[in-house]
Amino acid sequence: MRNYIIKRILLLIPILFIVALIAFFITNLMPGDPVRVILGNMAAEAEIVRVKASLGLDQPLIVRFFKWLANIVRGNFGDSLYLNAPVSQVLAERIRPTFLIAVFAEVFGITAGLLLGILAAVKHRKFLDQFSITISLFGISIPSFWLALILMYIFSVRLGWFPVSGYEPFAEAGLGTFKYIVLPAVTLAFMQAGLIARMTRSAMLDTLKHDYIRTAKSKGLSTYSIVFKHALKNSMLPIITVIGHNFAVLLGGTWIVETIFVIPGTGFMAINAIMRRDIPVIQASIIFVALIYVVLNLLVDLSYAFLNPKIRYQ
Amino acid sequence: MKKKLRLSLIVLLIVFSLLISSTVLAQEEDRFGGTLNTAFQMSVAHLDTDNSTDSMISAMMNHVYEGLFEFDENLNLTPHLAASYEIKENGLVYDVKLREDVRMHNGELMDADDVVASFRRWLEINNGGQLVAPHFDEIEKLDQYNIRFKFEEVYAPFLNILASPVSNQKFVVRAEEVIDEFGTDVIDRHVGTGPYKYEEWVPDQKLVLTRFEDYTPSPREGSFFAGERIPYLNKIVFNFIPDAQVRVSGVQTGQFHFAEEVPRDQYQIFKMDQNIKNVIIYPDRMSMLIFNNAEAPFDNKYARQAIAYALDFEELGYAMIGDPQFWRLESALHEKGNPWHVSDAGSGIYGVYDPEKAKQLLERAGYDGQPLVILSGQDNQMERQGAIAIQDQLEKIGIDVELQLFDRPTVVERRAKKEGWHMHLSPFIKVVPDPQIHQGWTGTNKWITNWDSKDSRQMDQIFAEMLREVDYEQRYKIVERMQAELWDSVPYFNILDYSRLHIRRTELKNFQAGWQPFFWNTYLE
Amino acid sequence: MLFLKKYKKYEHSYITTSIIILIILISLSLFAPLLTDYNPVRNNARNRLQPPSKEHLLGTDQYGRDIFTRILYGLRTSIEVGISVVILTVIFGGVVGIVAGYYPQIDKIIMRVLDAMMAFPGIIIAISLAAIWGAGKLNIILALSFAYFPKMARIIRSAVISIKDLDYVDSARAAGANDLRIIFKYILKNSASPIMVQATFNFALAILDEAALSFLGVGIMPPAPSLGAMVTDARTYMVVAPWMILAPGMMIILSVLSLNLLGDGMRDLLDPHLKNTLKK
Repeated sequence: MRNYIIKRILLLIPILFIVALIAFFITNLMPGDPVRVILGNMAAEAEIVRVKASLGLDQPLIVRFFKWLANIVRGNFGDSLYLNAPVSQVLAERIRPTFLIAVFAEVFGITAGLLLGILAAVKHRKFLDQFSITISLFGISIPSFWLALILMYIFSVRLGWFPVSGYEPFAEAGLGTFKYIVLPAVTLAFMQAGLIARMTRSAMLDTLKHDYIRTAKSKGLSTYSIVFKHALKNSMLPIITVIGHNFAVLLGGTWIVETIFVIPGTGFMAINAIMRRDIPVIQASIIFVALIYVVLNLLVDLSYAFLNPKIRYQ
Repeated sequence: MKKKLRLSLIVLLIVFSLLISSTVLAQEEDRFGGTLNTAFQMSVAHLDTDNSTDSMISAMMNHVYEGLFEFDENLNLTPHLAASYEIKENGLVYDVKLREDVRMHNGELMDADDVVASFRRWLEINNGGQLVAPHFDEIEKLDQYNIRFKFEEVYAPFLNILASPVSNQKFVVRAEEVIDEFGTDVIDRHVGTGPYKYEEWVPDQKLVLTRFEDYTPSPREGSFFAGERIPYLNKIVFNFIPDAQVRVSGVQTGQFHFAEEVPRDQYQIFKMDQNIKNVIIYPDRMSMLIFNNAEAPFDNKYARQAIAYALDFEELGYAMIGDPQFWRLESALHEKGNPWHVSDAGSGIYGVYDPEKAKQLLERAGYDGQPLVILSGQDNQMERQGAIAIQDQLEKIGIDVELQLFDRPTVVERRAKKEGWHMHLSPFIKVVPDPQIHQGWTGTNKWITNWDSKDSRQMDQIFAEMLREVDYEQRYKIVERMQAELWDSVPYFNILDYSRLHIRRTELKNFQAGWQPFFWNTYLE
Repeated sequence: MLFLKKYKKYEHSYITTSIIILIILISLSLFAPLLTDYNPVRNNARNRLQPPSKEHLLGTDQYGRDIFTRILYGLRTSIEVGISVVILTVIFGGVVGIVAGYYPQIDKIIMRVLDAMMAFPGIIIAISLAAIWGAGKLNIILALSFAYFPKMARIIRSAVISIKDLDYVDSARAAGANDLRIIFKYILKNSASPIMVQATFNFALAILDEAALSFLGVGIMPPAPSLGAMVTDARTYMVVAPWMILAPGMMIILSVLSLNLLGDGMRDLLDPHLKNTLKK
């Protein structure tokens, strides 16, 4: 087991190197000059040259890549061209709202998804099955930006239950923070619930076919205990995988939802950075999402290996 | 007996006046306090007005910094940190006497050293300063509260530029220690003289200003940017909310007291809401169609004229702005009522919709049917919708148009190039006290892009004459000539003037609709 | 075709329903010029923000353009983008997947690169690429294909690996068939099912992501009709002209939903074992 873990972790290094390579070159090929944005429309040419040199943007690309790589290995993403602060510090500040939204969306999504999926599997080919399939299909088919606007219109503008936008950190607003989190989290939860419900349903259907379930049934165990004690437990692996794989998709979703609800998280920061060519911030945001994806998948795979020793030796 | 009566009368009078003044004072006291929450549309890169042309920066920092001179409601230049001034030697020398009791946010008194340091920096890096610099000789400190500006040649618009409301041209006074610390770099420690001082800036989110308790107001009567400023509010929070609907809903729910530039189409809805007041800014923006005068076909004036004939301006008004109460057709650079208004500017060409003539002119210019590129920003409604509408109209009469809508950085970079684009829409600031601080006057190669021909040199000539002329009548004649020339060679033209719509909560009192929003003298009920 | 052989109209109601909806949607977009008198990009600004009426079934937008017309043409854009992305991902993914599966020598390297690429959520790669290349239909298609093809490559690779050592492939090789022939004759034919299922889901995803990119302003260049960009426009007018936001949103949902339904149905039909593989 230990060897397997070490091997998997060593495998991360080439992947992360390629991730960094892609992130760096994608961002540096962007048109649009950040210096002109900083200085405004009517800036003079000499001014632009001066600021460019002071930001180190006048060196060749390949030199900048290796300098940059050496720095990010040490956790230094450079300074934001815009926010007057080191990127790592900005990222650390912005993680909290994103994390809150993602976790809430995931909790909503898992709850609703499991519920729908189990209902569908238990009532296979009945009305509830159809109902749950339809709901989960909608979940994965509704564009999150559209849903966000509709929810905002109904619950904030019309009913006034939640603030339209913005965010107050927990330290200042206490529980009040959550009223800012609900709508964005629900928006993202829709897609997660859909994905999880679909996986739960098919995994449960597979499990329910097995002999031991039939045995349990013939023993006269209640449906409740069959479903929750046996079937669900044995369907957990694919469900965990779906959750692990889609957490990064969820983080991608925060890019759009945070922009709409004006929540100062990593996604809002990333989109803003793209719109004004704040290259260090874009790089850090991309690597941040990739890193989370890679680590989560490692954890999912390790939990697989832990639960099912056969995989380790493959 | 008489004496006694007089005495009691006097006592009575004193008591009475004390009573009145105390109630008045109590009312005054009531106004103090509260935190104002405002929603602005665009976030800023930094807060250093000299280092940017972003007018949002000066709108906010006007609360922190003040100018030697400021404009009042009627666009009269008024000494502000200056106590008085004198122009000598036929306009070559300006002697300015400073107010002696003005305290800065670092607790020290403002004096000539602060002004001289700030002015040198302004002259070097501010766009307004760079307009002045070629004509300027030196600034001299006469004593602690007197300074002298010396010019090499007469430069008429000097004082107006010092107080300019256009994109950060204004000269403001900063503490000398800050200039020493930052030099020409972007300043992020702010020590000014204004009624509010810098407290916190969270990039992309908000700027927080708090009342400066030791503020020394100007002794003059308050009017817009000039005169007495009273900081009633404890705190002003500028929130940056790029989405218009979010700004609107924030005001509707009471989260914000003020929102900048909200959708004009919702005017009727705001009108019905008792908690909201509409703030229409008198048409202070003009939508300018700017040509790339270096690139064919627009290196030829007939092609440029053709576009003016090819467009139905009224239809553009609906597409670009919407509700007609928010825009009006206007051919002159300065609005009606402004002393520089030219009533017959562009007659015969402005607003004449004649596609046939347009085609003839294009032919005359040798236009070969290549697609014309309109370059515009996505983030500004006027630019985006205007570009789309212009494309539509030109295509309707058979001119091939390629639309390039980009985010701001790409637009700024592409427009700086000599090729790759033909037309660009840009909002210009309309309300200016002096023609020479109008964006259209700032040089044939600044806003009038890549223009280098016989016509442009004629225009340069007009600009040069204007710099030296100080007499109003003579200057007005030059303005007339300039606009006649403008509508003949058409390096750019004004499609229409439009107003902006802000909204505020009714609790926000004493708010005045200036060209840039300001919140001194306002209070919360 | 494998698909048609197994398909029975009444047993597979998902497929039947989704195909009917898709046929309707595709014909709506194909015959758009016949179904409406308006042009999707021509303005009539004096007639802006009109509520639904007999002349304008779904009302007009802020330029006075007919929303019904724009939705038909926007759907056309979505379908064009979707189909192109599907074709490109199958080509890119096919080449990379076959090379990786067939030649174990370079499999490791290719897999590491694919792993790295899959570490980015598709929408993030697409947003970044679209911002680099600039908005426009072609750029969106390329960006989305680039974002989706690693997944396709992996599916094809595992199909290739599972097939290439089977007896009948071995015997073909022994009979002197060259690699190219084996790839086309046996492997592609036998990996068609997972490719078709994944392609259908990619189609749905491409429609969703195109809309999202256009919504953010890095997608289809205005004034060309795009369902996502219509939602962006509608956002400002949501309160005064709610019809502007409902129609394009519904159209996106309908098309994505029917494609997902088709994907589900095909998966159940073609390969019951595939049920547990993941959509994304």
